[in-house]
Amino acid sequence: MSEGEARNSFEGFMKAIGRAIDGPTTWFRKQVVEPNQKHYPWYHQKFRRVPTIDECYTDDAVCIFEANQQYRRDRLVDSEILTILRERFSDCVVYETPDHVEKCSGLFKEYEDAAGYWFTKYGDLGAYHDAQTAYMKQKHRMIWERRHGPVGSGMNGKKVDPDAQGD
Amino acid sequence: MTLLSKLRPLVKFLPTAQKSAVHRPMSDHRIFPMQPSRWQWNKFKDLVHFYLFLGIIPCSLFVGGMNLFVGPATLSEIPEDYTPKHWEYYKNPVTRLLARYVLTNPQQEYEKYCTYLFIEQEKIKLRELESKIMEKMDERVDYQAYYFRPVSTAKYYRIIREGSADIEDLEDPIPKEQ
Repeated sequence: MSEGEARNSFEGFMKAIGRAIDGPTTWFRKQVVEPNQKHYPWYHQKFRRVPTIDECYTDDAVCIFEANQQYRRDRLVDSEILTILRERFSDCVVYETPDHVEKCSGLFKEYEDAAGYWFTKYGDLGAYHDAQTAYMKQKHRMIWERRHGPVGSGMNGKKVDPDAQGD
Repeated sequence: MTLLSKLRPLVKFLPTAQKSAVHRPMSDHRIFPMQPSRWQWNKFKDLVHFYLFLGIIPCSLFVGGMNLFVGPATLSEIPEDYTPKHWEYYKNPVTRLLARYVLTNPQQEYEKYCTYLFIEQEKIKLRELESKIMEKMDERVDYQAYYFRPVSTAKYYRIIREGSADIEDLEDPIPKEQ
């Protein structure tokens, strides 16, 4: 609500209703709730990094379990980052329409790139997959890239000579 | 209603006999009234009262009190050289209370599961080793230790000795003078 005098009787009436609701609420909050409340912190949990799946021995079940748990946590974090980027873009579209094509294309590009990277790492792995599956996918992708160039360009017949690239 | 009660004294002068003649309790057709069952409705009211007074009201009082007099925590960076307790990762006071006093420590559960995995892995390794040894012994047929089952004769000897001592006691209960 804008501050200052009401411009007409209707606005005055609406402001009176607003005061009648907001006044007691604010008074209760300031006088009763806030003096009684305690101040104490809460923290975002930070997990220590454990060895990843490529550093585990194949018969070390504990190491594999911990690598899998870390992989799950990493995937959750990456998905949340993606969600934040997507929400930024959709909020921009809601706010900037009808100029959203010019103003939000940067955000859209950012989101699309991030989603592409996310899918490169986690995509097409099925519902039940773990760190080992993702690691194998990464290995296959890197071999493919060495032979055919960056993912997404298609095979298009011409093979890259692996010796010429030096890896 | 006040008007009716003002009119009431006017009825008083009617003779008693005349009044009692109005109602004659002689042969009333008193029957059990037939009506639909109210049992489910009464049960419903019972349940509403039960859950309201024993569930909803105490819970709301507790949660409201916690939110009024304790309030939510403020998000802050973890200080240096300090490991937060596991309930300090939650914002809401009720959640913190539950995490602290009702639920177990997530890290403890995690490490318990790691230990379980480790022990099972050790068992798997031992079984694999055992089967390898059996295979080798089958293959070479030069070693019988695995198939040798020692018979513990000492155990049965002790049992028989104790039994015979008991029998001797029965035959001659009075201990001999030395």
